[in-house]
This record gives sequence, structure tokens and C-alpha cells, in this order.
Amino acid sequence: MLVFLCAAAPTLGAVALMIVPRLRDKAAKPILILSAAVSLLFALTVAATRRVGSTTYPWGRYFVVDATSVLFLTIIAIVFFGISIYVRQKLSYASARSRDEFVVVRALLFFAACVLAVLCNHLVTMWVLLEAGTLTIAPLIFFGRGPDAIRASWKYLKFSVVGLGFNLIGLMCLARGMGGAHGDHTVTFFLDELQTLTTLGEKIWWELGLALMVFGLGTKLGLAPMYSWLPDAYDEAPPAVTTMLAAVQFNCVLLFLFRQVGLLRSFDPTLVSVELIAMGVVSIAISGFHIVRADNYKRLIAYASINHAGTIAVGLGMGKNAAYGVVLYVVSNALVKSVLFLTCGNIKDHYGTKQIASLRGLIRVMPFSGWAFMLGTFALLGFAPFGSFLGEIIILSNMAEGGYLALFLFLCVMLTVNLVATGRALFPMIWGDTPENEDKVKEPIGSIASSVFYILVLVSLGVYTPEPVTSLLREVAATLDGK
Amino acid sequence: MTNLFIMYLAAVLVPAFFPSWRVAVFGLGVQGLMLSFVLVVGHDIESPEVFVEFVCLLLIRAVFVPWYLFQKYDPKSIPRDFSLVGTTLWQRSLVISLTVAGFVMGLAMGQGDTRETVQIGTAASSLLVGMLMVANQRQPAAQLVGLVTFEGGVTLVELLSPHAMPFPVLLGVTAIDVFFVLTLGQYLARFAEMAPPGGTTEREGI
Repeated sequence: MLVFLCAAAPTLGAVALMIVPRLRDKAAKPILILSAAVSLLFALTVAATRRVGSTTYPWGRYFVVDATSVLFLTIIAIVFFGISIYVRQKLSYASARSRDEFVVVRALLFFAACVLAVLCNHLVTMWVLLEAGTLTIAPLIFFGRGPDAIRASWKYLKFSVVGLGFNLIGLMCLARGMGGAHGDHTVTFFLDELQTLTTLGEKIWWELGLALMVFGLGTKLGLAPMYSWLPDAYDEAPPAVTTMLAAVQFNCVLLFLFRQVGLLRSFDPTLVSVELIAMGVVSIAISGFHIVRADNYKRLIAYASINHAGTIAVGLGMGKNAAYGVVLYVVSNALVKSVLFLTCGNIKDHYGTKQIASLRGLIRVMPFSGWAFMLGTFALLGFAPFGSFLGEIIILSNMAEGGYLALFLFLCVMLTVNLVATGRALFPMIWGDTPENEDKVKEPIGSIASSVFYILVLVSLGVYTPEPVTSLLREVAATLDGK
Repeated sequence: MTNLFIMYLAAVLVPAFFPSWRVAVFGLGVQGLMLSFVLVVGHDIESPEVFVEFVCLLLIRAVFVPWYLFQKYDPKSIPRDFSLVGTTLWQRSLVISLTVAGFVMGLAMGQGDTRETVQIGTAASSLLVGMLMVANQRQPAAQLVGLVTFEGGVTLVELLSPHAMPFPVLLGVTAIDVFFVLTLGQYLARFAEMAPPGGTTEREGI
């Protein structure tokens, strides 16, 4: 039951803010931090007390505590705790201060929906919670912002609804295949029951279902061809909301994909692999093209996110030993994006622009944000000792061993292109000559604390991964290979 | 049963050819009504889950959606040249082609079962025409109608399965339907701010 307290804390916080008007003025920000801290504490406790290899069903089999849910719960709880500290600092500056509670309530409800989605053992319930999260966060993209943000938010909503719609159609096709034309057979969406099935019924139905499910989730992850919402939404949203999209919601959707791929790969490994690799390769190619052309640092990181989603899709498509690399990459990716997007907010607040050409010598003007941005960029590019480095190496070596040489070559070329393009754009911004009239800025601790926290986690995971964490990652990787 | 699908398809296609906000929203209400009738005819209404789903479909899709969207109506958000799919011959031909494509898919998937063939054809047509409205138009209000039409198609696919969802899941799906419409209302109120400066909001064509 401890695991439900991770969702109960933000839910209670949101409900308290909604029903007690006196709390709204002063307590919104403390409640946000407290709820996030309590959730993180319980998530870590669940992770620490769980026995290796165990799977429990805490509430009527609708929820499950296994290696995958524990890993993703911990990731999103860590990320959300950092976001809460950042939001506390930034809301102090916001002009619409009287509406603090609007942001806080929605953020808390969004997080609660994500926690429950991560713990779900029922595919349609998981879908419901992801849709709830989407509808909760969509208005936050344009909160206190102008027409461009409203347009980006609307685009996000459209693509999300269509993507999740495709996923639901896929699930229903699966149900139709399982149940037969006249409903002669039992239909289930419980993951543990689905894992015991030897057949999914009529092939035409479950194959269509499988294809639509992966396509729908690909849309939600920002994979090509339905990726165009992502750069707009990430660029226009406030930094904390971008981080919620890129590191919290992204991981929930990824977990949904992990569950579906792990389950369905045993029925048709080729279809899943081909679709994932095709979407991944096209995403990497398109994002590479946009990264080369990018003149806005936040948008550049948004395109790098598409690139990362593509790498994860390719790795997932490869299966087998690449799965461990994918899991490692996912953990690192969540922290890297959190560092970079929150730091982007600090940079934009100081310089008032997102244009790369207008910024030089960041590391001297804003030392903390500069260092965080630099380390985040290194991790983004897959430098050692970060987890993304090892993850990419494992995925690439698996490709070479599996004889996918064209794919291996393509990925190597695209990694080089991204390294050169990102370095050419961002390195002068970090180290370039500072204008003479530019003084060093004293950065408020609240705005940099979360980035420092993420970097500490990221570096410590890269330098030394404790054995319990490694075995958790291995357990998750094992579920991805249709076992 | 086939008549219900014909009515449903008419509720999707008629608003596509009559460029009016009121007709479009009224069409969404009729789609909701037909969905609830399809549920009653195709499923065991005595089962509590099916009964609750029927009530929810009727109240939310047939009554609440059109009522709420009319309530949120703001002349500034709906352009005078409002159209769901455009008014050129090419755009209208595209709607008909997508409808035909939906039914071709229904024939392939239905495997000789007439009811299933028509239901899949209607659902696929609704999904494709809904997506066309979302993708082909720059008018957010038309895209909004397209999204609800797309969701109707998704529900029609849901109704293919003779098995009802378990009660907690059913309540979750219903809550999402309500939340979705309320969120759309929030956006409808902001569309006026999104309108591109001056002139028509429709794309020049494909």
C-alpha cells in the first residue's frame, strides 16, 4: 500500500488547494514541494524494500509493483521533486501570482495521474490515466503566455488525442481478435493475464492492433512521422512544464510502450521490430536535419529529444542485449532533459532570448547554470561517464553483432552529425568571449538547486552504479525481450 | 442496425458539406445519439455495465457535447468562412474518397460479416474524415469538431467488442470523455487569440 502514497500525496495536496481557499495564497508552493518530497520518499522506500524478481498486485490486480514500475516510479519522482523546487522559485517572479494554485493544482494532478499510470497492470486503465495526464497538462503550456503558446498547446493536444486514439483503437482491435466475432472467448487487458495467453485470436485483428498501438505511442513520444508537435510544445511551454512533458510524461508513455512491446513481441517479433526501427530511423534523420539548422537553444534540445526517442525506438526494435542499453539510456535521458530544460529557463530569464547567436560566455556570466548546461550538453551528446554513453555503446555494439551494418553505419553518421552540429551551436554559447559590459550574475539557489540535484544523480550513476540499481535495470531489460 | 450506421455516417458527412458551426455541433450530437443506439442494439442492455455505458454515451456525447460547445460559442473564435473540410471540389472529393477507403477497409476486415463490415467501414470513415478535419484545416474550431468526430470513430471501434469494459475502467473512460470536452471548451474560449492576422484562415489547398 506504501506505493499508493506516492499518488495520494500529490492528490491530497491538489484537493486541499482546491477546497480550502485560504491555503491558496500562501500554501500552494510549500504544498507542491511537500507532496513531491513525500512521493519521492515513498518511491525510494518502495524501490529499496522490494525483493529482486518479486511482483505484487496491491489493489485488485489493477496495479502492479514490479521492476519496471519501480524503476519508472523512481525516475519520475526524482524528476518531479526537482521540478517542484524550480517552480517554487520561479512562481515568485510570475506576474500572475494570484493564479499560483492553478499551476500547482494541475502539476500535482498531472503527477498523480502519471504515478498511477506507471503502476497500472491494466492496459485500458493505463490509457485512461495517460489521457488524464495529457488533458491536465495541456493548458499549462499556454499558462500566462501569448498566441504562439496557445497554438503550440493546441497542437500538442491534437496530436496527443489522435496518438492515444490510435493506441486505444489498437487495444480494441486486440480485444476483437481475442474475443472472436461473436464474443465467444474471454477478453482481458490485465497484463499478467495477457502474458499467460498462447494466442491472441484472429491474426488480422491483433496484427492491426499491434501496428496501431505502436504507432499511437510513437506519436505521443514525438517519433516521426507525427513529431511536429514536440518542438513547438517544448519550445513554447514554461521550462517546468517542458520538463514535465519531456521527463515525466515521456517516461510514462515509454513505460506503456515497454509493457506493450514486451508483451506482444512474443507473438510477432518482426512486426514490432520493423515498425519501431523504421520510426526510430526516420526520427533520427529528421531531427538531425533540424539540429543542423537550429538557431534557438531550447528548440535544439527539443529536436535532440526527438533524436533520443528515435535511438530508444531503434534500441527497442533491436531487442535482445540492446534492451539493457535502452534502459540505461532512458534513465540518463530523463535526467539530462530535466537539467537542460530547467537551465534553459534560467538562461532565458537572464538574457531574455532563446537565440543562440545572442549568447556568449554563459559559463562566466551564469557560472552555475553555465556548468549545468555544459554538463547537460555533454550527457546529451553521449560523452563518458554519463549513462547515455554506455547506453549508446551497448545499442551500437548489439547492432554490429547482429549484422545490422547499414543501421550501425547510419547511427554512427547521425551521432557524428549531431555532435558537430550541437557543438558548433552550443559550445560558443557556453565558452565564447563575453561582452565587456556583461557582469557575473548571482543566481538564486532555488533556480539552480534542481539542476545541481539532477547532475549529482546523473554523474553518480555514470561513475558508479550500485548493484541493486544494476539488477533492477537488468530485470527491466529482461522484460523487453518478450520474456 | 445498418440504418443506425447510415445515420451516423450522415451525421459525419453532412456537416462536412454544409459550412456552418451550428450544423457541425448538431452533427456531433447526432453522432453521440447514434453511438448510444448502436450500443443498445449490439449489446446486452440488461448487463449493468452496458446500461451505464449507454446512459453515459447518451448524456455525454448526445446531450452534453453539443450543449457545452454551444454554451462556449464565441463569434470571435468561429471565423465567418467556417468550414470543416474546405469548400473546393478537390477537398470535397477527398472526403468522399476517404469514406470509400473506410468501407474498403471494412470489407477487408469484416470477412463476410455484414454488420461488422458496415460498422468497421463507418468507424474507419469517421476516423479518416475526422483526421482530415484536424489535418487539413487551419481553423482551430474546425479542428475541434474533427477531434470529436475522430473520438466518435474510436468509440465505434470500441463497440465492436461484444464484451463491456469492467466497471472501474468504464467510469474512467467516461470521466475522460467529460474532461476532454471541458478541455476543448477551454481552448474554444482562447481560439480568438490564436487567429492568424487578417483574411481567410483556410489553407490554399493541398
